[in-house]
Amino acid sequence: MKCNNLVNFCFRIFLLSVAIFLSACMPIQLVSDYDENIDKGAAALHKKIDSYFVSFGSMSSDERKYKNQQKFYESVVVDLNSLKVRTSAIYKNELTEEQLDIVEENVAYLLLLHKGCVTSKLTTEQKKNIKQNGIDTSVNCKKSHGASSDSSGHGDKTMNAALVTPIKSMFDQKFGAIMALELAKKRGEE
Amino acid sequence: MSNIDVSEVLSSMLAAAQGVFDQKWPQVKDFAETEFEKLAKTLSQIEKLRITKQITEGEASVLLEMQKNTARTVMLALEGMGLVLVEQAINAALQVVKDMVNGAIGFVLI
Repeated sequence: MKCNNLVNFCFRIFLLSVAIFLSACMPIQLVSDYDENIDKGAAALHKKIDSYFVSFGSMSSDERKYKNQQKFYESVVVDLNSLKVRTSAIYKNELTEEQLDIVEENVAYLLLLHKGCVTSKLTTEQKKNIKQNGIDTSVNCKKSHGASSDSSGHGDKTMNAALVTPIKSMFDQKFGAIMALELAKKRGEE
Repeated sequence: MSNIDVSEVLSSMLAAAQGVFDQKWPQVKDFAETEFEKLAKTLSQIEKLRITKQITEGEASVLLEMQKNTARTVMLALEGMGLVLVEQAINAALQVVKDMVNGAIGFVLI
């Protein structure tokens, strides 16, 4: 009886060792696979934001008012959310998720600039509020969303035209980085 | 006139990144160089806008925050590229073991 138990134990150890060895030889994955929807979604969103900045120069002063661009910003938020949901559903995709969180944060900053909600140097609390509460597409300035103070009726504000070039470059670079990482996930396959 | 020397900032960023990526540096070098140069140029552009008073202090601080975020996005792409390279190296090593075991026993075990 004791001998049978020993044989049984040894057999189990052997099976466990084989299982460990086999699993050790399986390919490992540190980053998600390439996803065409994320690649195309990021390219489409980039094109949308880029077109906005390119056309900003030829917009009339009335068109430049926040209230007349509010729908555009709302559609950017919708596209971004949809891309984030898709990204979070994919295994080992944390890096792209984080990149999209950063894009969202910068869209929040863009809206604050357009509405004229930042009247002095950003404080640590403002930055924290932006991270925590994200984008506010309303025509108001809210401290809870990173504004310097609470105030309403900023729909007639226009964005300082000098800001357009650097902001456009930053969005170009961010989306370029997202797409570069997505393409790297192809791992040399076509 | 900007006080930021783009080439100096660029070489400092490249030296720091090269140290981190070590042996993987040649594979990510081209991407890193191009992206770091863009970052340095935008930084200089923000400084110029502020010096010439085309933007307010508040606007400048928002732009700098956005620029930091942009740099983070680039770093995350580099991190991902590095991980893909590490993954490929590990899987290539595992494939060697697999081929050796299958070869030694004479049939496809793993």
